[in-house]
This record gives sequence, C-alpha cells and structure tokens, in this order.
Amino acid sequence: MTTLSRKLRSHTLSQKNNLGLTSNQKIFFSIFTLFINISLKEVHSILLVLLFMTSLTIWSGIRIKNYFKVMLVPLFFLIPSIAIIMFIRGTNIVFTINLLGIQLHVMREGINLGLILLLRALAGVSCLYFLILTTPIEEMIQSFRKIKLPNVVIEILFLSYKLIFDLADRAEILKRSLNSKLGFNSIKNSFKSISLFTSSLFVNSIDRSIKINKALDARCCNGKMPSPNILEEKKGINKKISISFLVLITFDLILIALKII
Amino acid sequence: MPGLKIRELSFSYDGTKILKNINLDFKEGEKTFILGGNGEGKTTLLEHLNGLLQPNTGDIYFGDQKITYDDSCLNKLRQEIGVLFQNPENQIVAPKVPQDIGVGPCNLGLTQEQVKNRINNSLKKLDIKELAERKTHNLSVGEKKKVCIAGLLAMKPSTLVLDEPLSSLDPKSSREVIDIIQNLNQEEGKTIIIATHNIGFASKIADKVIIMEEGKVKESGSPENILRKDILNKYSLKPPGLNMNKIHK
Ligand SMILES: Nc1ncnc2c1ncn2[C@@H]1O[C@H](COP(=O)(O)OP(=O)(O)OP(=O)(O)O)[C@@H](O)[C@H]1O
Ligand SMILES: [Mg+2]
Repeated sequence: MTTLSRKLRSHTLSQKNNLGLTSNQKIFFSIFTLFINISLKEVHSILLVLLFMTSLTIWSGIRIKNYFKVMLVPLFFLIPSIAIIMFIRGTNIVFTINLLGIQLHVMREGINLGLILLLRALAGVSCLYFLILTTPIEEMIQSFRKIKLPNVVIEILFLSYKLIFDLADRAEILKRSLNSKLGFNSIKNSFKSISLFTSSLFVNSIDRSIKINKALDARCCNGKMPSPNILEEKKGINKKISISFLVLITFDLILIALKII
Repeated sequence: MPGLKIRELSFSYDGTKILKNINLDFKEGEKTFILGGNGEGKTTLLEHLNGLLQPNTGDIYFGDQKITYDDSCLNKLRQEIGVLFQNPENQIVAPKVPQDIGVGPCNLGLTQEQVKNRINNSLKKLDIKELAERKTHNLSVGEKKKVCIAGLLAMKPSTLVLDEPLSSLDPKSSREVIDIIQNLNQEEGKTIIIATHNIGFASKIADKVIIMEEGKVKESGSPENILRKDILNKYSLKPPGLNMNKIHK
C-alpha cells in the first residue's frame, strides 16, 4: 500500500541525500532560518525564504505533488484565522461586505498584516518541512541526544512520530474501507461516513497508543525508550563542512544582511 | 527454567468478565496448546502471562515466585517470558527490521556488539536475512510475523508464549516455524505455550492441550484424550473436512 504518509516515510527513511548534509547541519540550518524568518518584516525576504526552502525540499527528492498536499494542512488552519484579521485591523476601509444587515469592513492594514502573517507562517512551515521531510527520525533523535535534549522530550518526540504515522495509515485504511462499502457515493452517505470516520479514527488512535504501550512493555521498556539508533551503522559522516552547507549558511547571512539594510 | 502456575485468575474488561477462575499449570519444557473459538479469551489469558494485563483476582507464579507487578519483577518476567502478539502490526515498534529485533536486547542493557550478534542470530534462525535491510512498515503480514518472532528469540526467553504463530504464514514458512518451535523446545528445553484454533497444528506437536470456552478452562489433558471427535465437536472446534483418523501423531 502506498499511501501519502507511507510515501513520505519511505522517503525520509531512504536517506537519499541529494544535498550531502548531515542531520546536524539540517537541524541547525532549518531552525536558524526559522528564527530569522520570524524576525523578517519585508514581504520579499519572507517570499525568498519560502521559495528557497520549498525548492530545497523538492530538490532533495520530495515529489512536488506530495509537497503541496502536505502544505495544504497548515493552510487549512491559517486561512480562517487570517481572514478574521482582515476585518479587525486598521482604519482604511477597502470594501464592505453586507452580511444579513451587518456591515463587515475589510481594512487595508488588515489585508497587509494578514498577507505577511500568512507568508511568514508558510515560510516557517517550509523550514520545518525541509527538516521533517528530508531527515529520518532516528537521525534527528540522535542529534537531539547529542545536544543533550532531555530524554523525556526525545521519547515524546519518537512516540508522537510513531502515532502520527500510525494515525495517517489508519485514516487511509478507514477511507479505503468506507469507499469499498460505497460510503461516499452520495452526499448523505458521505456525511454519515465522515462522522463514522472521525469517531473511529479517534477511538483507533487511543487504541493504538494502548497497543504501542503494550508492545514496548513486552520488551522490557519500563518507561525508557531504547535509542532507536543504537543499531545503525555509523555512516561515514562528512567531516569536512560540505559546500552545500556553506551555501545554505550564506543564504541565511544574506537574509540577515537584507534585514539590516 | 521454572514453569508457570495460574491460580484462581479472574479478569474483566469494563465490567464484563472475560476470564473466570482459571487454574492452570504449564510445566517447564512442555508444549501446551490452548484451543478455543473466537473471543473465548485466549489472547486475554496470554497477555496475563508476562504481566501485560493484571488479573482482578488470583495470582500467577513463575517458578516459586509470585508475580508482584512491580518494575523489577515485571522486568525479569518479560525477559524470561516472550509473548508473540496475535497481530504483528501491534508488536512492531521500530522503523527498520534489525532495529525492531534489537529493541528487546537493547532494553536488557546488552552491549552493541552483543545486540548485533543476537539480531544476526535471530535473522539466521528464521531464515530472513533478506529482510535485514527492509523497513518494517511495508513488509507483508507474514514477513512482519517472522520479524516479531525473531524479536522474541533475540531476548532469549526461557518460555515462549505464542498467539496464533502460524496465522498468515504460507505452508513453507509454517513448516519452518514449527521446526523452530520444536528445536527450541527439544534442544534448548524452552517451555512453549501456544494459543490457536488450528487443530492440525496442535495435533502435530502438542504435549498438552487445553480447551477454553467463555473464559473458562473446560478441558485439559494429553492430545490423545482431548483431540477426539466428540470433544472437538462439543466445542465446535472440529474444522470442516478434517480427517480424524489422521489427526494423531
Ligand atoms: N480491550 C478490550 N476491551 C474490552 N473487551 C475486550 C478487549 N479485548 C478483548 N475483549 C473481549 O474479550 C473477549 C476475549 O477476547 P480474546 O481476544 O481474548 O479472544 P480470543 O480467544 O483470543 O479470540 P480470537 O481467537 O478471535 O483471537 C472477547 O469477547 C473480546 O471482545
Ligand atoms: Mg486471540
């Protein structure tokens, strides 16, 4: 079965490394860029981050179609919240919507702020997607261990990773099963199916977490996750700082320079 | 290697009694088969054997020691008693095959070298060297099952508790797994406890057979005495088309 979640997971696991970066470098670069991005105020710099990160991710082997699919997820949450800002910020009215006698004014400042927020949020997400979609979880965890992140945090990270993918798989399986029972053949049935889908997904996620807990218990994990990386061959890590890393850092420096000017 | 004793064990899920007053003895070095239809409580019973579930009343003894459900006791128990889950999806926790097999040994605090050795031995034992490079999420169900069995063996338990070990295995793999079980039992003296509704499998290698119904132990004895037409019919366990003349060893 090749669901989207499986495709992405296969990809991060395949360690196809078009960029020649170690995971430490990737973590450093994406977090650093994320912080710069937060402080940026000019639309063109933010756009630059978004475009650069997106093309990096796609260049490192993610299919464009899949990338935009995962980008839809944050958009789904962003658009409604940003739409509200357009009505409540500023004084210059651009146009007015008449909704059942209530006058809703869309403001110039609101539109500007909303756009910047939207772009900045997307650029931030693209930084993190670059990290998530190109780095296997084990490598990330190993790096986190190296920088002495507390164990609890790492374990929660690993478990949530496993649960998210399990959940995505379950969602795909449920959808298939409902499809095979003609669950989406009419609007009425679709509504029924969607309610079934959500409730069983919820129950499933709880059930999965209980079962993962059992599986870990059965192998003597009393609260302590084994380093999932202990068995990995140490891959010949590029000691010399690669050219690509220098290029990426230069990009960050350019951003900072743009900001200062 | 001590045996396992269950005394007056009862267990309910959300107020529904699933296991009722179970008394059982699993002698060391013996292969015990627990037979029973769907939903009669086999899996629930097996999950008690290494402390994944805790009985409402009653006790389990490993050797002379009563299981107390504190960390050190559970740790020792889970090292000694390996449980194969019915559904391999629920047992796999790591993204890659060798990692998954290594999770148990890592938790036992072995060195990297020892862990690697155990992984390789398990892979060899199950003849799944070709899976060594694979990711766990896209294995076939049968392959997952084998990986789970390998993960059990890597912990070197003295007792193996197997929930439907042959389900979703093809005939060749089934034969291999039966051979492995026989080997572990005869050469290493491991105690084997298997839950199944595969009567043919039970008749091939069982030393002792138990029949469960509605959470109670209804019959218990040697395969010659239990795997008889009248008894199997009574519990609706006789598979369609099974030739009863062929069933004994
Ligand atoms: N987590 C749970 N919560 C509530 N009831 C449960 C739970 N797990 C199992 N049961 C119920 O307990 C009973 C025994 O289940 P169990 O899984 O032990 O059966 P089984 O003998 O292993 O069946 P099968 O041959 O189908 O695997 C069933 O009626 C089942 O519905
Ligand atoms: Mg069962």
